[in-house]
Amino acid sequence: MNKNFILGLSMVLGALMSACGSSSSNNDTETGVTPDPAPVEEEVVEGEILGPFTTGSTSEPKSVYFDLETATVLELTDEEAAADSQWDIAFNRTQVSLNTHADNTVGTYLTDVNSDFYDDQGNVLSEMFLNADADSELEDYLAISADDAPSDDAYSVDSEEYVIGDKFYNYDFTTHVVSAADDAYFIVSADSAYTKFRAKSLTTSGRTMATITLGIQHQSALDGETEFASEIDLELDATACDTGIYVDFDLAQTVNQEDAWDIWIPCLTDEDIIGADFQIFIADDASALLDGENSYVGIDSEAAQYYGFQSNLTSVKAFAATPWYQYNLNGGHLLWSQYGVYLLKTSTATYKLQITSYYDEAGTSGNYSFRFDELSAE
Amino acid sequence: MKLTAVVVCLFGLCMVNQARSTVMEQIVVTGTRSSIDQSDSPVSIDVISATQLQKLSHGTLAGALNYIPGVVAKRNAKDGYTVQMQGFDENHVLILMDSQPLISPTGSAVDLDQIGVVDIERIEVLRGAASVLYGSSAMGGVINIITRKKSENHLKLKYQTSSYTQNNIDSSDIGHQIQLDASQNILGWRGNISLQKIEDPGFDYDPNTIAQSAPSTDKHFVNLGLSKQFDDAFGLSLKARYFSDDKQKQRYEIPGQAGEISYLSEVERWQYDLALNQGEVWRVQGRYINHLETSGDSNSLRDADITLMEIDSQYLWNIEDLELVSGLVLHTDELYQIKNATEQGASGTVEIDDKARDSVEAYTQLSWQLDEHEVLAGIRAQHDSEFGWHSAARVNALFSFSEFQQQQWKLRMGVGQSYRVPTLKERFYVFDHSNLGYMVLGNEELEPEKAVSANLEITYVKQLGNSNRDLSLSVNTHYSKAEDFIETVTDVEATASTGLLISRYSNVEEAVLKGLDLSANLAWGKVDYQLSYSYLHATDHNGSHLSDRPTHQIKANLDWQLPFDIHGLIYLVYENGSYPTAQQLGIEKDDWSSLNLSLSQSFNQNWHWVAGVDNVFDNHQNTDAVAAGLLDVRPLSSRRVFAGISYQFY
Repeated sequence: MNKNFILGLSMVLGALMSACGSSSSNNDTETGVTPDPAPVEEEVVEGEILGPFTTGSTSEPKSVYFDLETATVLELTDEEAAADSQWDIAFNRTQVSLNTHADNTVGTYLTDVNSDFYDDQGNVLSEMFLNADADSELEDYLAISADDAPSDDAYSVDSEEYVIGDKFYNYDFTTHVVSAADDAYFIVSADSAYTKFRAKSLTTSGRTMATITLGIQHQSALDGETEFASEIDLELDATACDTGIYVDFDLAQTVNQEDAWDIWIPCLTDEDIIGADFQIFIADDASALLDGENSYVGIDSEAAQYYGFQSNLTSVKAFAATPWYQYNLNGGHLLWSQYGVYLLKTSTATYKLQITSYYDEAGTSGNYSFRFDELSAE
Repeated sequence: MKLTAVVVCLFGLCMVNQARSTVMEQIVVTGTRSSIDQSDSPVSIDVISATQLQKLSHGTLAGALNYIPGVVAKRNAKDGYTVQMQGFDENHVLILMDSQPLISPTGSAVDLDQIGVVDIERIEVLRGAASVLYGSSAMGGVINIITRKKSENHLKLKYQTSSYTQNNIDSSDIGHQIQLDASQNILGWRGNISLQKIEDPGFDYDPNTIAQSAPSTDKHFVNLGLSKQFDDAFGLSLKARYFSDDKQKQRYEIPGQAGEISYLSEVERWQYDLALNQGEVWRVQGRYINHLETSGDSNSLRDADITLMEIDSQYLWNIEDLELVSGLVLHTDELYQIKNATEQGASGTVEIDDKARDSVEAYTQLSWQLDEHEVLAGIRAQHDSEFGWHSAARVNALFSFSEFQQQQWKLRMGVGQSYRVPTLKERFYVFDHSNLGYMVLGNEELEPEKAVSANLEITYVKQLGNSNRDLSLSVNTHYSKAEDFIETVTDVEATASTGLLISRYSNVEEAVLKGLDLSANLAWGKVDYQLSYSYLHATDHNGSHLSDRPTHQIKANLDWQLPFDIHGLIYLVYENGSYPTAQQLGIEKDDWSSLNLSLSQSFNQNWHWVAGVDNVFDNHQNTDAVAAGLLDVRPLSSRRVFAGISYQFY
């Protein structure tokens, strides 16, 4: 249900109730009693601002899960939200998320409204941000209609990707040949050690990997090492793959599933051909990053938390590609909305949304206010 | 105003000379930790007297030190006032009160606008390093505020009002300052009380913008003192000082909301001093300061609880031509800082978690008098709970040359080490704005900053003709090589990986600071002239100029006794040649000048008035240009007219 539907429903119910009492009304009329004023239809105000909705503080952030259909905040824990299909958009401090549930995968598309807040080179025009407010940008918001909706494939959705996953090989779509991406370096942090590795070569068998040779540079922080050691090769034979191939970088060898492994490669069977899948995963207690430029000669263990190591599965937010704000435009460490109009396509409808503020009346950050309406034809 | 114009102006003033000498020998203590005539001090000391302070200040030390040659006064981001000396910034200039340190609310810098002037006897300014006698932060210089020790029975009341004229926020805004100062001897005990209240409405350059240029402030000072001098030269002194300060300044509109964000600051500070002494033979001083501060933008306030405790003991031996002063200092700093929660019931974010630093410091300095010459050699050792052992040594010498035909040459020289230990904030700060893309982090591995410096000063004093015409010239050169400067540095690797701007305090900077101070003083009957020029060349390890420091500074003062016992004071400050920071995008203005005038008169022994104009030409910063990232060295200042009257009851 959307706002219009709810209001329409209440008007219908009101009319029905009025009809149920029509006999008495008629009687009143007949007896000359002045009738009650006709029910006032509550006007649907397009562009009405909702909020602010608090997303907590930097130290204690919390998510606000919002259902566009009912225009309500759903009280969900993050775990509950992960399995919930009702909410559409969520806010957590500066991060905006979309539901990825199979029954309600929400996509977003940023319209061209206020693209002139940036110049042709993409530089921020601060005055445009600083002088805009919810009133001045209402007209642009109201002008967006169903006519502005793009084709379905133009919408972006939140996604997840593996920190290493399939990034260690190249696939030639013309020749269908798979080869090692030997310039793609990964650094894995696990067990107080850091290991930079890459796939130096690989062979295939059917649609599986038969062998893969890893180049490994190990750095043991426990032993006081501050740089990676020289690269050594570790060849993995997947032709007898059983439950998976597990590698312990500290030992630079394969180990059993029960051992303290750092990365693993799942097994794959393709028409009786046993091999390895084209995926590399890290352990639950490990983290990794892509060192695309092969720039790190070692990891400063005291600063490791700031390198950007990520867990095995990471989330990619669609809103991150089209941020709704600019930061610190006038020296006040504040977030200024572009008042861009986003289209949000849910499983049931398409809405337009404009974020108007990140603050409450006292200036407390993390408090979202926005306006949204279901797209209507012009 | 251009340099040439300034010089022409000064010479013009010199043509108008009347005759009156005001040369008075001052007793100073800062260079030797013992009382000595200013001219005989082996370390060069400038002095501002209480009388001068009353003419120059508006209740606090802010701005008053601009009077001293070579001192660069700065207004900081919290609308406080600090000073630079010999190219060292405010964190490397040590501010003392009665030779003991004060609270530094920001970094290592004391806010001079939080120090009232009522019970100050004089201010001694030592240019150059003095870590041997005073420890950390005494790298660019030492400013020692000497409070009143002796006074006759008196009761004095003063009122002063002021206006920022065209920069008033409201056209009817006026500032108020009330001082009450009393001293009474009862049964051999001397009691002192001074009260001061300062109300300043602030100012605003552009009423069409929400942002206010300078905050409204409301300051209170209460100083209580009790002392007794016993027959055997044993002295006891107890002091309590209270200070409070409320500031408010509108800053920004709230994006997407109708309200506004203001900068707020509420400070409350108590200071207790206990001093015991037997003449100058030995002295034990204890100090406890607790500083509570809530400050920041109204949507992001922080509470800070800063404590300083120190016991400073000193013994002085005199053996013929030798004087040995030795001391032991026990010092503790404590800091707790929390960013307040913005939601009811939520806890704040602790940024510095009740951290402390203790040190034991011992120093000794030997003075050897050779006729009119004197050599000083000193060493200080410090054991710090966080950094272990550190030391500094320094040698100073004074050579007095032939005194004939009423003229005198003096050569002062010194070479030695100085240091500054990292503050608790620099070591333990956690400022997490990762959701906005940046973090600033302390670094527990920081080492003290160190410098080796040398000073050479030649002074020439000549009595011209008769006893009330004196000329004094001085040339002071200084050179410092500093290393392990502590700066916030972008962690390039962490920044590249995280997408956040990660800054952390690090020992990275090296700097060479060298310069020249020229000073001329002429007392000619009823007119005193002072003209000074300072040159600074300060570069980092890459040879790049250090930012935010003037290359050239000129100061000129004219103190003139007019008819009817009216005193006129004109002083002019001119600076240019500052360099922008790496973050600044260009230069809006790299020179500025300020002309200040005041008149004062004592009707009789009871009534006294003062009136004047600060910053006559209303030279001030272009806040729009600064917001746009440009360098504008002009201070956040305003023309201010003021008038005051005082009555001395007895």
